[in-house]
Amino acid sequence: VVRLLKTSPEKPITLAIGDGANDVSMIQEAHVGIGIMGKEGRQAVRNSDYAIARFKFLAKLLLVHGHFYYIRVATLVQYFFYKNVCFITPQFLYQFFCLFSQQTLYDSVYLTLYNICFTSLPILVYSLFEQLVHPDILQSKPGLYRDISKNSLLSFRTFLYWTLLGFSHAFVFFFGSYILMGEDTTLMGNGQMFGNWTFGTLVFTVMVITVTLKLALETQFWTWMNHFVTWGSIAFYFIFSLFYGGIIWPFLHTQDMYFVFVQLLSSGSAWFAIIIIIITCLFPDVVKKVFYRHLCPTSTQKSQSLSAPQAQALSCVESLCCYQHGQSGCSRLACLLEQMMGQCKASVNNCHTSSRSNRSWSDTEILYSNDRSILTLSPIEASRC
Amino acid sequence: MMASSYNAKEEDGPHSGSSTNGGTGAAKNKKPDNTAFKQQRLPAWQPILTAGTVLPAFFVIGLIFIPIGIGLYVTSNNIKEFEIDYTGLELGSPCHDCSKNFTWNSTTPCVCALNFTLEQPFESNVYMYYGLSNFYQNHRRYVKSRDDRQLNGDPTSLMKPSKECEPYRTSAETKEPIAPCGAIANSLFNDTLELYYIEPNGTTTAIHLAKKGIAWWTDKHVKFRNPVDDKENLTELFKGTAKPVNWRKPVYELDPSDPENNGFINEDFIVWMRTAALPTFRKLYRIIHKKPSTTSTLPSGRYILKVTYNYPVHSFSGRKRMILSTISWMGGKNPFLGIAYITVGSICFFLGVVLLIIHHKYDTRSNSADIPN
Repeated sequence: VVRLLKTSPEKPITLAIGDGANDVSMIQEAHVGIGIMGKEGRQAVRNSDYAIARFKFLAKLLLVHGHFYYIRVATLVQYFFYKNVCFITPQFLYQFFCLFSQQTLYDSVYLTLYNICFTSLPILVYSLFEQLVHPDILQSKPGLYRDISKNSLLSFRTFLYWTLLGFSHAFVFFFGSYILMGEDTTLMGNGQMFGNWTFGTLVFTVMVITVTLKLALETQFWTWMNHFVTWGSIAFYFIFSLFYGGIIWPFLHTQDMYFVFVQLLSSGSAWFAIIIIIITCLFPDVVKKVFYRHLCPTSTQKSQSLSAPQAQALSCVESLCCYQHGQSGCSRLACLLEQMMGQCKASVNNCHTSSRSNRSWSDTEILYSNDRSILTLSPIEASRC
Repeated sequence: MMASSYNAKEEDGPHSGSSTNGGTGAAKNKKPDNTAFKQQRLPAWQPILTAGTVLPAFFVIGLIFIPIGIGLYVTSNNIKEFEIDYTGLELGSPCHDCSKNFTWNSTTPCVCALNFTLEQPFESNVYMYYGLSNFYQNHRRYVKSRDDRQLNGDPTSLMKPSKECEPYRTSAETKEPIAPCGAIANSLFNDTLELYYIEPNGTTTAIHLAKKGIAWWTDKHVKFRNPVDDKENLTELFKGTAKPVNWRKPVYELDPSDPENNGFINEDFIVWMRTAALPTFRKLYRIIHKKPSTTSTLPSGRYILKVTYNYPVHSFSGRKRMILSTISWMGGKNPFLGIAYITVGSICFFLGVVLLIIHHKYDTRSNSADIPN
């Protein structure tokens, strides 16, 4: 039966779930096979892609975990292509100006470390932690699953968006730097001239920062790790460049990058150029996101803003008190402090009763409210514990 | 996260009865920890990019960028620049004879003089550049062709230059190593430019051109070092090496009058060794320091540029020019930065206004709960 479904005209992705040995062939045939550990033994589990303990967990598996993982993986793939398009296209454009002699724009160390050190951690943390919507909302609103059905995040349209974005950013990086520096003017206050490595470093600097900030724009769930790797990657790039260009490397016959980065950063024009190029790249993207959210919001986006009334303002420490037992240590400590100061009861219910809610579904599960703050201009009713 | 990482190896099929009990007991131990990290309940800031969030940022950017752009544009406009091409390709130009007849190994120098007029006086320090066009200093084989260890004064590399310098590594006749080796050093720009001012009463005064301070400080004092030895004489230090093929004088005679500017640390040489990014480039040649009195550094009037035409460019259709420019804190004359800031600032401001309209219009609509269940 599953094979019949798979060959039907729409070519659907099939999922089969079963718990017994008789379900094994069905599980293997379907694209996604889920086995349930149950009374009938472990046969189904051993042949399945995913195994769950109770049938009711299927809802959460699909609606929450599946949703999250799909968004994370799809964005991961698109972002990887995007950042590498940004990386290589300026090198390609430079060939038009160096007689196609394959002279690299960036130093070879930068070529090696770009994908490994400067841009790898932010996307890694993104793909571990990103959550567009709260899990409880996802579970209670199965309709949100339609937003990502039919492989929409990896569709040709999305791919085209990311790739064209990469190309346009690369053009802005290269030609922005070219128009600023290339037409043989000096950028330094003492009249001295830059060379080709300084030019390449300027392009590389704006590229690393823009690519990281682009991911920061995409991230909608900022844990402390996201902050750490995002800003840390940019800081690491600067520190590494200062270190790499700061010494004469022994045993090497070329010292191309010696002091190049410091000279670049000591030029006021270069700083202004970096700022304007980054803003020129990211600004249309921000505009596009805002316009789309307001003019044709997806259901997921609507449900993001729906949960705003329940959220508490960032400054309200009481949001930490609303955690259940077993949450992070910091929140427990904060709760303890609050209790000692007599400001807050470590009770979950208090945080819900006073918050305004216009939900249309009944939700009996207790919300694990994260430290959510939705920065809109619409009034948020802060609850008092 | 409970579903994905269950290990089914321990329990086998037939022992369903006992394994269920054992399973629940064992399953309790196998459950992932109920911490915020492992259950993905970390506290997080969840910003949403709405018009309301972004509006203040747009207005701020618009209001900041436009004055900055105006400032940059005005600064750039105040910079004065003068450029004169002295390649001498046209029949009537002063340097035409020099460009046609001269080759790089001619013994008698060819001198040509060009007259020009400065409309406006140049204040403060004036920087004199030479510019080349259609000269690809960024060609890969060219950029590679150098030995920084030799230029750093390493005695081993002095006698045994890097293989990257081929074919400018050893002299063909004497088989001695070339110091400095490589194609970049070999193509050193060797025109001499002199500037004379024609006073209103007719006398011609030479303008003093300072040759210090044209190279990066770190280049001159750290990256480029003469080989050190007991001998003080540079001629002795470079014994056993040959001069580059296209040079007239060896490296220790680049500036015999000043030992601080001779050998590898000659500033003209250092400036040339910093390969330019694009085929049309300029390099700092001399600096005309401002006069201590209130007179302008270069008053307006007639000038003569005297060129000792040593550098042939017609073989690759290149062009040579001399540029005089004042400098501000942001460098040379470049209106692009100012224009870019004004443009982006205005667009931001305009879009901020548009977003304000959208925000008011769609504010209530975006919060409605019409999501299918």
